[in-house]
Order: sequence, then C-alpha cells, then structure tokens
Amino acid sequence: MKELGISALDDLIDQFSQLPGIGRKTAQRLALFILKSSPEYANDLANAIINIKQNTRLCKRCFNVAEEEFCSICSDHNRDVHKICVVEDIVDVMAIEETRSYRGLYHVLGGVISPLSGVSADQLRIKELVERIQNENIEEVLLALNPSTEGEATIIYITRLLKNFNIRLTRLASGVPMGSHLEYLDVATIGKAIQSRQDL
Amino acid sequence: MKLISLKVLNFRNLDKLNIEIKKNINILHGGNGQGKTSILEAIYLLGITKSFRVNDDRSLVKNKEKFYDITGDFLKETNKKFRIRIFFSWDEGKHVFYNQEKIKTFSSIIGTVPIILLSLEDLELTYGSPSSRRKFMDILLSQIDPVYLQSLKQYKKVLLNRNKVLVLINEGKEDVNGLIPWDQQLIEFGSYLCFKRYQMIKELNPLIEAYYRQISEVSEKMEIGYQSSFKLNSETAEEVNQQFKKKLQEVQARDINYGSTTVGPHRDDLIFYKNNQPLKVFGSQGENKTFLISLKFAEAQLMEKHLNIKPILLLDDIFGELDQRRIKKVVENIQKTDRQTFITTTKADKFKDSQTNIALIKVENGQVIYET
Ligand SMILES: Nc1ncnc2c1ncn2[C@@H]1O[C@H](COP(=O)(O)OP(=O)(O)OP(=O)(O)O)[C@@H](O)[C@H]1O
Ligand SMILES: [Mg+2]
Ligand SMILES: [Zn+2]
Repeated sequence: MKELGISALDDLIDQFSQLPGIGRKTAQRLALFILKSSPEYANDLANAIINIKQNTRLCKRCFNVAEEEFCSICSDHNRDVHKICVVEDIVDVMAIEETRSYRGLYHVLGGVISPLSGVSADQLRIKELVERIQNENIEEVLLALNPSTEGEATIIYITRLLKNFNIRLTRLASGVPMGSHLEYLDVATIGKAIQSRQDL
Repeated sequence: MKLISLKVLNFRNLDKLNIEIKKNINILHGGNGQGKTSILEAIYLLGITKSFRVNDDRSLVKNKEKFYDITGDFLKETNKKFRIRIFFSWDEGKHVFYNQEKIKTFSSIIGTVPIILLSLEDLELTYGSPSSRRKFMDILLSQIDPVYLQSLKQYKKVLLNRNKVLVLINEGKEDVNGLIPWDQQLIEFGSYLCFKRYQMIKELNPLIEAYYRQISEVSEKMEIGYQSSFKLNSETAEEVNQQFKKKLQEVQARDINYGSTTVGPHRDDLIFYKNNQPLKVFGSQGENKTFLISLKFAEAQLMEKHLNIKPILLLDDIFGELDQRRIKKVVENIQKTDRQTFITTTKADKFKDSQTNIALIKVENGQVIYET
C-alpha cells in the first residue's frame, strides 16, 4: 500500500505500528478500519485509551494494575493473604488468574535481573518484597518467573535473600518448557505447574 | 533415514530443481561452479536449518530473486514418510515446516533428519581455530541429544550475562555477589556440555582408529584428545560439576580483571593425534583427509547407535588428496553401511562401471541429468 499523504491517517498508522506485534501492514489495516468506522466507535476507543492512563495506577502493595490505592486482588477478602506469588510483569498476573488455581496475593517485580539489558537487582521491586515478608504475615512465597536464564538468575538471587525467613519458598514445577514465556503458555499448563510447585 | 525427493527453488544457482532419489549412493558430478555443493547445502539445511557455508540466508537466495524454497520428502526406518520445508524470503524471513506444521523454534527439529557433513571447510578442522572444533562437537551432540542443544543455548546466554557482570564488578558498579546467580547456572549447563563432549570423544576414538585402519591399511594410532580449560577426568556428570565449580572459583579474580570468563566449555579444544603426535604438525595432507573421513564414518556410527536412525552422509569433494587405493576403500566402506550418501566430485569415472546401488547424477548449470 502506498501512503496517500494524508497526515491524520499517516499519524495513526505511525502510532499503531509502535504497538508490540504490529507491523506496518497491520497498522495500515487498523487505521483504515477506524477511518471507516462510526464516529461513536472512534470516540469510545480514544476515550478508553485516555482512561487507561488517567484512571489506573500501580497497587501500593503488590504493584499490579489498580484503580484505587490497592488492586482488586489485594482488596478481595476471600484471598489467602498468607501467600505471595512473585511474577515478572502484570501480564503474568493475568495469565495465572485465568487458571483459577491460585487464591493468594501477588507481587509484581517489574522485570528480571538482566545485566545485558542493564537491569540489576536493585531496579526491581525486590526490596519491597522483603519488606512485605517482614511486615505481613506471609507463610509461602511462590516464585512464578519465566523459565529463562534471567528468570532463573532472579530466582537464585531472591532465594538467597529469603532463605533465613521462616516461610515456605516454592517455584513452579519444571514442567514448563524452557525458553517459553508464561503469557504464551496455555492455561492448563500453568495451572498444573502451580499445583505441582516445588520447594526451594 | 532416506531422502526420497528434493525440490529446490531459487537457491544459489539452482533455479528449479526436482530430484527423485532412488539409490543409496548418489554421485553428484560435474564441472566447477555447476551447483554440486549447493545441492548438498540444500539437503543440509533441511536437517540443520542453517547453511554450513554462510550465516546470512540472503546470500543463499538466487541472485535477483526474493526467496528460496527447499522441500524434502523423507522416509524413516519405520517406513513413515514426512516432509520438511524451509522457506526464506527477504520480506518474511525464514520459516520451517514439518509436514504442514509451522515450527516455532527451528532448533526443535534438529535431529529429525540426522546429517553428517564433510565439507571443504572441515579440512580446516585440523588446522583452524578451536571454535571450529567446538562447533563440530556441538553440531554432532545437538543432533543426538536435545538436552545438549538446550543447555548450549542457555549456556551462551548465561555466559554473556556473566561477562557483563564481570565488567560491572571491575568498574565497581556491582558487587562480587552479583556473580552468584550466573555462576550457578554456568556450572550447571557448562558441566553438562563438558561431560557430554568428553564422553562422546571417548566413544569416537576406537571407531576412528578402526576406520582409519580400514582405509589406510596401515596400523596407526589415530586419536582425539579433549583439552579442557579445567581439570576434567571424570566418569560422572556430578564430578565434572564439582571440577568446573572449583576452577571457576579459583579464577574469579582473573575473570573480573579480564572482564570475561576464562574457563568453561567455550574455551575447550580438541587435539588430533597420530601416534601420540599432533596431526596438525606431523600429518600429511592425505593422512589428514583420511583422518577426517574416518572421523565422519565414526560420527555416523555413533549417531546411529544413539538415535537408532541412519544419518544421511553429505561428502563434498572428498577424494582430492587421496590415492586410488584409499578412494577404493572409502567407497567400499560407504557401500557396506547402507547409509544414504551424497558425494560430489568433478570426476565420476571411478564410478562409471560400478554397482547398481549407485546413481550418477550430472550437475550442469544448476540442472541435474540422470545417467543411470
Ligand atoms: N546466491 C547465488 N545466486 C546465484 N548464483 C550463486 C549464488 N551463490 C553462489 N552462486 C553460484 O553458484 C554456482 C555453484 O556453486 P557450487 O558451490 O554449488 O558449485 P560446485 O558445483 O560445488 O563447484 P566446485 O566443483 O567448484 O566446488 C557458483 O558459480 C556460484 O558462484
Ligand atoms: Mg563444490
Ligand atoms: Zn495489589
């Protein structure tokens, strides 16, 4: 497709093509779809985008996405507040929630240790995790990190920090294929991995 | 494993090639630059997913074209058929298919079609850099053992991260303890690699010696020695693990100083010996060639034993430097084994009046012409 020199269209194509997994061609298709859609739809979409930035923040306790001070999981009285599941990112919370096989709380690290990408341990929310274990009445910490070498390094690092606390420390069972990402794994596999977690 | 048909489009100088393979031994003959090696390269790609000549797939696409497409139909020992297809285009990149299924991680099909290659580049195995000898071990073991391939990939990632941490420690930006998460993994994956390599060389040695004797008809002691960057003399993976761990601790200060990891499988090497002397220094050209052919036969036998599948042999221009007697012995050996073999040569006379299980395939300007 040739660009038509209409700047409103080109702008939208540029914006779309910055989204993960969206190439130039798909961006063009999406932009044309919106061009042809009703004004109401375009308005709703634009508002949804603005809202997600204005009306959300990170949960004060677990750093999951939240509308209030605390996220819906932290404010849910039916959750087991003695368990923390440590994940890399918010998408992992979503993936694990979908399995419905975990009823405890979360802690979102915001990444994994990766010297090559310039991410060191003190840039992650590890200090906050340790504080939670000191202050909340935590009995089990489940390290549900992606099975990459970086995820593994982060598990080793956290395990060393937590080994003197009187808690049960577990990780996902290694049925998870190496090099795969949690968010791409099907729901059943993650559910099974949580049920058969191993002590560290 | 048998390749029963090969379709090639726009690959090197082959624009449209369609070969049915009916014989076990296939002699691809023709003048220089006609496309013989390119055919071997196409078959190699179906097994290994990468070329042995270049890293960049773009140079494999026929000049002025935008894609190449290679399809092979294979017949397993169990009489089951399957298809592997490799497609690459400048726009869409590379895609690998097993039957209809698109393969996400290319390396996951390695070992499906086991391949042993002897190329011109392999002549450098004896004389060239240690990295080529490590690559030789890695390709062989990756085909035999998927855990080896996984460990190798993980090891490389861990190594890069560890080296980065070493630099950071050196610059005072990171604590020595920052090494712990990486050391633990480096030892785990690295000791597996060393252990597997060491075991493999031990298994290869008697086979190499036997093949060398058959081909050369002299009794010489040909042997590969595994040179490890740490003391490695063990029978169990657990011991290798301990030895690597110990050495890594010993050299930690040096590693920090250099900003790189100075011990481990990525620093290991092989030495080829003839009667306890390095072949590199004391071997003739023909002896080196004989050694490498023996090595390839030994590899094939090892692979067969571990996978229970006969590998496909690709032998590029192997007869140079060999005298008539040795050529005859090599051909005899190939005929004995019932492994599908593709041999390129500029002179096919030595096969003209030979047995029925040999197909002579003339390669001319990117086309093939059958003669038998
Ligand atoms: N991408 C490409 N497009 C077109 N031609 C190519 C490409 N890459 C290589 N060639 C040419 O293909 C021809 C065949 O190369 P190949 O290595 O297969 O020859 P060969 O038959 O093995 O010759 P030799 O006996 O000299 O080893 C060569 O002339 C080479 O220059
Ligand atoms: Mg050639
Ligand atoms: Zn929360």
